[in-house]
Amino acid sequence: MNETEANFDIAIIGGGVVGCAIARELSGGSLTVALFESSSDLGNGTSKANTAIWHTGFDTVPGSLESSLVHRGYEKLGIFAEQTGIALERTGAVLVAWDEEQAAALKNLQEKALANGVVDTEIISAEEVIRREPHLGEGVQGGLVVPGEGIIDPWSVTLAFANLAVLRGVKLFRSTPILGITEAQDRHLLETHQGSYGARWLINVAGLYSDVIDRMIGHEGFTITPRRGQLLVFDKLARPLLSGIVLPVPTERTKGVLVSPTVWGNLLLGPTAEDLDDKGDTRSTSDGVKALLADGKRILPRLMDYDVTAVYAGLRAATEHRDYQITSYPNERYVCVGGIRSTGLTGSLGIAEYVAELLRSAGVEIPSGKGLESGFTMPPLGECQIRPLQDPNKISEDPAYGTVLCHCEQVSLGEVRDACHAMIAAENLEGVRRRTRALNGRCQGFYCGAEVVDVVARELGTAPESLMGFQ
Amino acid sequence: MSSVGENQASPDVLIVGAGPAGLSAAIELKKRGVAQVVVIEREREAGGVPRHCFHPGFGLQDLRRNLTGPNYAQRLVSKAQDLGVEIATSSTVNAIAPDKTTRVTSPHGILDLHPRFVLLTTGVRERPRSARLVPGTRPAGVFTTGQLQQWVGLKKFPVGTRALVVGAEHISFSAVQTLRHAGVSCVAMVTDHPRHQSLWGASLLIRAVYQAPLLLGTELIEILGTHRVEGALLRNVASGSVEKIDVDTIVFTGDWVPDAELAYRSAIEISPLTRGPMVESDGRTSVDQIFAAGNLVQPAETAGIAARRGTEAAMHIANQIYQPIVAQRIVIPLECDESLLWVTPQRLVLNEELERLYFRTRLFSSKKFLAVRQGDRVLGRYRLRHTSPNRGLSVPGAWSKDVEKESGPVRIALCD
Repeated sequence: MNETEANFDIAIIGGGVVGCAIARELSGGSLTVALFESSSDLGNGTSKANTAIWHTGFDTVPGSLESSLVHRGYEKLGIFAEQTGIALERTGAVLVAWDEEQAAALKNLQEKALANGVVDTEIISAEEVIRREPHLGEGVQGGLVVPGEGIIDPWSVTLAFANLAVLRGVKLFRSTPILGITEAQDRHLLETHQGSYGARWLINVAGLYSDVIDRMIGHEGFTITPRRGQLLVFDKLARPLLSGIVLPVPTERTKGVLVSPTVWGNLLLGPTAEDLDDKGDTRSTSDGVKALLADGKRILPRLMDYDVTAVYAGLRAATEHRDYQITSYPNERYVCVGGIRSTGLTGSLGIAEYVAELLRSAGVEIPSGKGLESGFTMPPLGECQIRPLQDPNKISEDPAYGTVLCHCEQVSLGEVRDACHAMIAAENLEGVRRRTRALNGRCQGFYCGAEVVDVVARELGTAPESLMGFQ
Repeated sequence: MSSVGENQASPDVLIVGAGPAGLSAAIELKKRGVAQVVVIEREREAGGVPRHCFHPGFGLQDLRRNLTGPNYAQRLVSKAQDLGVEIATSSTVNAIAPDKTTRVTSPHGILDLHPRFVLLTTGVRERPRSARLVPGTRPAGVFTTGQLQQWVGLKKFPVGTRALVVGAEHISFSAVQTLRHAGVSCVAMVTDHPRHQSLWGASLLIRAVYQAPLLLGTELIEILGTHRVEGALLRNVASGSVEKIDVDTIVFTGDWVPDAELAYRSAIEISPLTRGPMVESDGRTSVDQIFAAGNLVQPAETAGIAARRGTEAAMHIANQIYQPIVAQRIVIPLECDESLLWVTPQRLVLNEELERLYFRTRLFSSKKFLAVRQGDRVLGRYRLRHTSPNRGLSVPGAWSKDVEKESGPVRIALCD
């Protein structure tokens, strides 16, 4: 066995939104905490490709752990976003019934919402649905309004958690997959390419790979079956077609797709739901795209007049169980946080608090949770915020904030430069995209692709070709 | 070139975009004695797309010279500056209010200008992979021609080793040349059309010189690879057979779309066909005192035609400055049938002669003529040089003097 590089009181495996939330929650006390992420960036798996909805949890299973933690996380995330300058819009949502069966289901959904603590929903007539969303297609039968639903920048949430964790002493290891876990007398030994690390407590938040880690410890609590969701992002010019989120009414036959604004000013259509075997298969498919377009045409016909800006696919960490799989094994000093399918973004702060409670009840000295924000803010990326290019003070402070680099997304040179030198800096173009929006717009690099690569290569001190996927 | 300043707060004409159309318009306005003409360009250098087209063939129509793109761009810029055109670079127009207040952002700050007239010449771009809905993974190594040209010509970055070119328009052949220049072998060109859309002999030339086969009736159905493109799946449209091609680079060419966000945000009426502003025969848009010209209006023409359209719009703007028309203008819609992709102008003005009508076909056609009709009357019939989809076509507008006030829209269509 390799010599141990370092020992920690707690090791968190997985730097997705939930892992980073847990890292932040456990930081700042007397315990040493490490966060291990297998890829080059945080939030690079399930957390990066989702519907970016700030979700009330109105449709979770009442009484489930998911229901309780999403409910807890919802308010906390709203406050957190405000404190840290993360784009969040309280758009509200309407579930639209397109046939008799769906219209009949609204009453049950309202009761379910109530059981989940969401008390302000309202069943409305077809006329009222159309008054709210006049561009919807033919055949609206009625709707259920959920005023609390909103949209959020999911990438900044993950990064904000991680930044706060690191500021409060968490040691972050990126590009550090866990290859194996062995047990020493009083600690777990995590094998990595860089050597082995010891940890008294282990928290498994490995998302799609949480079942693999669970098995490394000797458990077989669940199996992850990746559920792929393909999504289409439409041109910003389509944004005026919707005022809020349009959700489907789930029925026995189908879960349906949603159309939602994004905080970046686009419209999002999706997701599909396909059970796969391959945990790396984030391909979009011809059938998936066709199905989404057919739904989009039915829900919001005028959406078809606009170009698609991005097609992407994400994998949800679905298990054979309906609920979150969060289990504490105090004797083994191990907490497994698995099966966080699609509500992990909203639930993250609730889950983190719950994990802290589990640790406390096992006798671990976890800090109280006070002072978790400490005045840290994220760069303003949302359309509801004042971006550097719109801010005369920022530009006079540094002309780089008045130099447009990415025209479609209105990203300045200063922002891209900052992303390359941030405390948790971008290491590649993907990292720059998520931290700044550069290259995410409708031209996909026609205008600025070469210039952005030039700037990023210079700022990172790397060769342009190393940013272009050659290994 | 400089940034925009307080002394440019109220120009006679503000032009957005310093490409061939914008610069040619500015030159024409100065030639006609217009006092202050300001051109706002968001890139660091003026000149537009020709700046990164490192091949000859520019300036033939408007400068009577055969220049490379960068040389052509430089000549237009110098000519404009010599005539007193004020060009502000690294400056972005964010919005134009109904009263023409124009907000400009630059490294020097945010400034509101109050021009008398505005000319939009914001140009075009190619539809990227996402807008074409090509499925698969999302690896690096996927380009548009514009990006590739900047990559190779301006930055001298390495590209890859084996490329697939999607499309067979003029620009696609230019992409093959750029790849060759960068030392990349072009493994194939694909188009779902039954023929290429460029000049006669282009495919023979490409095959002979660059050894790149042109695969007709073939579509790209999936992109493969995790970090970098590792291949592509091609399907023969007729037989349905699928083959894998081994490439590390894919270039999407042509399929032009106007960069019209500013026009949208300025509440200018947009043509659902061109996706650029609807214009009248003199280049005016649906908003008073805002004109549009060049490839923003007709996606996409050669630099020479864009320049000419800019010049023509400038003539009309100058006329308006010197002799404001008070008489009521009667506008007749101009429409095209399904066989055509678009037509511009979209509106004719009664008793104003149209110089030329610009349009595109949707598919290759056996019909070799264009008919112009109003009601039952045939106003004109022209033999076409070609019916290649999405390749430049225009006919004279002499028939426009016969357009009548009460006879409804003028319609154009391909005919035998």
